[in-house]
Amino acid sequence: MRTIRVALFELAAAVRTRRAIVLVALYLAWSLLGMSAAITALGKMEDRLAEILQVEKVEGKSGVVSAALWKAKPFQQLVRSVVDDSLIYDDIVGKHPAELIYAWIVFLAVPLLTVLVATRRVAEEVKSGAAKYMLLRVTRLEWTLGKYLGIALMMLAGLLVGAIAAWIVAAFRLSGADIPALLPAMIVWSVKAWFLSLAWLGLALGVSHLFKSGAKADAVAILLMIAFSVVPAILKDFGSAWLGGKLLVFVRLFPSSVDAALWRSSFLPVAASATWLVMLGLLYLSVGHAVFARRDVR
Amino acid sequence: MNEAIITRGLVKKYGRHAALNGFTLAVPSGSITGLVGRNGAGKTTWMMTVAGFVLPDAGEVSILAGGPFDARRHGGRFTILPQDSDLPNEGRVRSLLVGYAHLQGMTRKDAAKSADELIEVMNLADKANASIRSLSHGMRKRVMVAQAFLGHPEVVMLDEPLSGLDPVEAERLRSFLLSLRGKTTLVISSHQLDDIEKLCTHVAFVADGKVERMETLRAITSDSGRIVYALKELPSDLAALEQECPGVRLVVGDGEHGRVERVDRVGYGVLVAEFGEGLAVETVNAALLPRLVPFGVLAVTPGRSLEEAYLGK
Repeated sequence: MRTIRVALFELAAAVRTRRAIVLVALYLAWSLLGMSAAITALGKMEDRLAEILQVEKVEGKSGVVSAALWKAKPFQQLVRSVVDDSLIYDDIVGKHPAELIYAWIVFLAVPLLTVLVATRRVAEEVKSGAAKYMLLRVTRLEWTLGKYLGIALMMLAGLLVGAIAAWIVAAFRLSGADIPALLPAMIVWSVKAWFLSLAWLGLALGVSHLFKSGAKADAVAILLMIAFSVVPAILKDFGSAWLGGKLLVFVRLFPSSVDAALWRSSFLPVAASATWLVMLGLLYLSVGHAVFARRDVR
Repeated sequence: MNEAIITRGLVKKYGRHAALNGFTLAVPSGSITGLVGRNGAGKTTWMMTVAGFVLPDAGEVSILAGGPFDARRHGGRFTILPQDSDLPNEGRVRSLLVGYAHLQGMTRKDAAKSADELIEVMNLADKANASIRSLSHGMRKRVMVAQAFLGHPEVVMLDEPLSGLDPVEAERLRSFLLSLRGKTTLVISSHQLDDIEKLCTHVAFVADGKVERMETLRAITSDSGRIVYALKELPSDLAALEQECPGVRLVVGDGEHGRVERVDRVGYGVLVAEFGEGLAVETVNAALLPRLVPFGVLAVTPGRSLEEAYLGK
């Protein structure tokens, strides 16, 4: 109960400081710009394709050719070879290109935006002394979990607004009868991205518990974010030789190694991946909290 | 009398320096206990340790007979005004106080009532909706004090509560703290010994990370067997007066005797009567005062000031 009160306090503070508005604006800008740039690129590709095929260009909105292309068997075979996972391929093959572009944009943005938003939250309050006014009233664990929950809710709001913004861009700039169906699909991708963000949030907030300086926490979190993105790829490629197959389970401790399943459509693999990401977030957070619980708040 | 806070043998080391070096103190319930000591003596570290912000290397803490600070047990019952701790700048006075009260378990309605009461007490009504960022240092301090009294806690520790307040607000806060005497246990750390003397029932002298002396204020300030008289003019024949009051030695003060600085500064004399433990203050005063009246008695101060007692004068 008190954890929820801390979460609401954190949310209220985020609104007061306009931190929440900045976060939503960042997601909004990222979605708008990303979607807009992707659709522009799509249009140019379609025009180029029309030139190569020596057919008449489609005037006005883009997307018709891409949608047709996406349904063409040779192109699907090309995509299958690129995706390198037949299950994911089977699930995404029927989807509108704009939906997949949005998914790619939002999955790319989530780790960095999460780290930027969350890493200073604990460190700066400990430094200023504001944390003391909270810790007189709630336990350190309640404070940690409340902050996690509060920021998580803020990110969900940002992602949902981002989805709506991206859909509006798509609706204005793409052709096709299936545009209205894109909105719920984009919202689903936002929710999936939110689960991915929970893992990164755990990392960012966990790091924030270790420092009294926001700048140091930022630096360490960004370095860890890069390391956590690169290490699983290296381990996947070379780990078998170095560590042996069984030790590759270590790879599962990194979010980027489990987020691929979020691209699936079936409920079970997505739920399993989402659950694992939440667990990872809580694991990172608990490491940070374990240190915080044993340190002075001066 | 029960103890509201008990600490035994607290030790806290930072490298080779022991900020607390066996700090043992029992704070009586309902008392206003002042902590007096030099910078770095360990007062603030002790408060931070009792509040659970600093984790001790050794020793025991018990608050309200419920063991060391735990927000689940002590939240709302025990609070502190920490030193050098900023409030969140973005907060607004009333909403921040309501938020804190709500966090410590009060309903929104009770939280709002408590916040409004304290806003009134701290004379912040016209700033209730102002952001913390926009407040002056003194106003922020009053909000910090207010948060410590949300929900009528049983024990409140105040680290330098009056520093940074203007004289009017300082007096208002003194009156508020005095109104809590006997109802709320207060621990006050301050370098302003006048304030400690005006407010406290008990005083602890702290040095080198431990308590050197802990007694009632009365015991500390009136155990010296002396009375200080401020006189319009000094009697010329002190020996004759001494003969009329056996056991009493009279000394002309040099301005460092007693709390009569104001009188002394405008040129009036200070006469100090010193006597042994066998004589009561009342007896000596009854014998001396009638004989001093012709010289114009302006003030009679029994015992020593806290400052004199602390400085060992």
